[in-house]
Amino acid sequence: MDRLMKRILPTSVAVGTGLLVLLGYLLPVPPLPSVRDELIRWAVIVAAFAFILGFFNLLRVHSGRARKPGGIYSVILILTALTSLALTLAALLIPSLRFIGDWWFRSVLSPLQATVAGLVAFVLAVAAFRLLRHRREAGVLVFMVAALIVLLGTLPLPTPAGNWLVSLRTWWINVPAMAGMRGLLIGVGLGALLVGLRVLIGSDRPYSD
Amino acid sequence: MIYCPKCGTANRQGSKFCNECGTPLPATGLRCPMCGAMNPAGNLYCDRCNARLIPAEKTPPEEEKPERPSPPKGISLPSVPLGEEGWLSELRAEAEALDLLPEEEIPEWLAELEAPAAPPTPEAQPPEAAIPEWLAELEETVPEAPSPAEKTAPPLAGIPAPPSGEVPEWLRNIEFAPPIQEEPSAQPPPIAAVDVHAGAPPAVSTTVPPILIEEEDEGLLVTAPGEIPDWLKEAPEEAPPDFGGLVPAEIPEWLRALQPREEETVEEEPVETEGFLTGLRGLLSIGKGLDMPATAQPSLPRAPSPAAVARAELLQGLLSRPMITPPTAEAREALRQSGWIAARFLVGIILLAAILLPMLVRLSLFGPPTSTAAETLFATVNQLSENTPVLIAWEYGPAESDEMDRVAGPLMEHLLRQKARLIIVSTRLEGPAAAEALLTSRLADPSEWPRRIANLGYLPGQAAGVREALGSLDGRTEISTGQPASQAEAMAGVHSVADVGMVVVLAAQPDDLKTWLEQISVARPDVPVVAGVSARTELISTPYLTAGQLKGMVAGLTGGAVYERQLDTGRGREYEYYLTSLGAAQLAIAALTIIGALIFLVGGRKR
Repeated sequence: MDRLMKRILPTSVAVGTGLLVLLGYLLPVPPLPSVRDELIRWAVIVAAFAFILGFFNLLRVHSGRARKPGGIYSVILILTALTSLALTLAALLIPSLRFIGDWWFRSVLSPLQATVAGLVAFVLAVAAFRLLRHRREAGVLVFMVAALIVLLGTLPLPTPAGNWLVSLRTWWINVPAMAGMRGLLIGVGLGALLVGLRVLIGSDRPYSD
Repeated sequence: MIYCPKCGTANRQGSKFCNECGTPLPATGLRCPMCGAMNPAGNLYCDRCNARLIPAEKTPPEEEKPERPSPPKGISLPSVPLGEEGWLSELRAEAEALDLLPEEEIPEWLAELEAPAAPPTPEAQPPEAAIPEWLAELEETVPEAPSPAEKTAPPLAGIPAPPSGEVPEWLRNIEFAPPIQEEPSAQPPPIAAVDVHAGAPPAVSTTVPPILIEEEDEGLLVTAPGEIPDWLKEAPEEAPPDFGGLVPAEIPEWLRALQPREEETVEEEPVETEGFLTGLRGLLSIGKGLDMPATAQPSLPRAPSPAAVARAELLQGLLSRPMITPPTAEAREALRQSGWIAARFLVGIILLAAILLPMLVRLSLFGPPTSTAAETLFATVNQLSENTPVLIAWEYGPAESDEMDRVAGPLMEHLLRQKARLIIVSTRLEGPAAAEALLTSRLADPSEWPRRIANLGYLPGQAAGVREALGSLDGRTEISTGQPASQAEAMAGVHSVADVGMVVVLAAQPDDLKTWLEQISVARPDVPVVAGVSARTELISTPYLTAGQLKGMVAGLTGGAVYERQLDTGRGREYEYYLTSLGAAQLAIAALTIIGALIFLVGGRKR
């Protein structure tokens, strides 16, 4: 019974659902498209429900951490999450209170996230400074040269050297970088196809332990 | 065997008391001074440790010369002169013993021997009857005027005197000659032989009558008696000195040199006072040299040299400095960390200065930006007719809004200018709020919002949500007004992606752009798709743009500036400042990259 509930039943549902959606795309004959769309809609509902579960799980985990040393950050996270939830629900229930939610977004969330994102530039600058500190391999040198070309080529320098750098950057992005990116995309596509097939045949069961 | 001095009983060797009467028996053995073991009386060396038992001495044993005890000179020192045979030592000892005997104990034969040492008086002549017959007969054959030496020449010691009638012919021809002084280096002279078998006491005689021997080329020639050689005739006829029957020259120098010297004063050496060596002398003679007091070292010169003074001052200076302890591993790590903190702080300062300085002083470092993709997108949007529904995937949040608002802003304003209807969806939670914040600032007349904009909010489920939204937009809620999407004015006639004239993907992350492009290409490949992306997503979106899946693209701040310039919204100056700060920051990062590379190339990598 345990094996049936933990392995056989989830695998059967996953393989059956996947095959139905795939057949809905491959054989667009009624009722396969309708079944396909309905199953996708179920997936969206399940994802939304999972999102709600994730929210409460976040509160539970940080409630435990709030009692430990350094738990002040967990307390702040819990208060912020509950405040955002309360303001959003209030805006839905009482449209006149929507400005509070807008203020919360523009004055709290946006500056905080922008500040954190702005640190990326500083981290990248430090990383660029110590790029050759640990390794001096050919790949690192090529990466450094490419980064310099893109950095300087993006700037509209009003000099012949600037125009030459822009041309070099354009060539770099359109030829070597695009070749690498296409290869990467093809690899990602083949990998997704393989993972899908493994899930369909029950070889991979990410939905069960 | 040990005989009891009281009862005469024979006891076993080593016994301490008499078996018969119990009288203590004298110790007959010799006790080794080194190991204390008892040795038989005849031993010269210890049976146990091979140490010498009887000290080497030139005097007879103690019982014979009690007046001259000789202390042991050390156990292992050689006591017999090199080259001296044992029999010679015994011979010498016996000779000395004879010299010390009292006159009344001198045997008769020795007294007769010493008689010639006295002045040659007729009274001292031995009686005629004492002369053996064979000697008497021999004397008869001697010439009439013999030399005194010939008269005192005794018979050959050790050789039994043959009867006169048995004297061989060769002996009769021998002429007794006076003793000849020989050089010490010459062949040792004949020494009197001791006839141990004759029963007579051994006599020491060095006056063996030599036989005249002439050395010729053919060999030895024995001169017959009466035939005195010429050299002997020429010799002065002087009477040889009388040494009492002994000729001093008969003891050669080499033998005399081996004799112990009585004149040498034996230095008293320390006596062992404790231990089993108590009473022995001279055991540690080498200690005499070791015990010598050390000689005084020569004193240093009183006036040191200038170089020595300089060295002393240098040493004093070094010693007077405070002690410098080497840094520990923790201290070195702390120093390294502090160095890196300083480096990060310096990088941050440089970056902040590069960003803020152009904005504060209104610098214009760069020329006008260019972007062909943005210009193409501008032309595509220009072709949209009025009220064309446009599906906008708002895939960025407040974290990326600083850049993406400069990308999406002119594009949204252009769409609103074209009087398109904007249907906004997002797979990110912050997307709808970010869209509302931007559109509020770009929409000239807020009253037109319901007719132009429909914010359908969040699409859960990622790719499934996109696919579901592309399949059906009905059943959703317009979050600005709270009414169903089907009732929104901007959603009139729009039920799915098939009803829109264009799809705009505003993506800050590459994955969001890929998701939308993949789902749209499956659901409605005929719907034109354009994108406004961040500079980070530009690289991955370029293949889609080249392949034609994207009809146009605005990438980064540069693309937004180009689009803004095309649209001419009056915000060109703002974009110029942003671009100048961005360019300065990029220059600073490029310079830091080069400087850091030079530092670590020259200074070495981290150990």
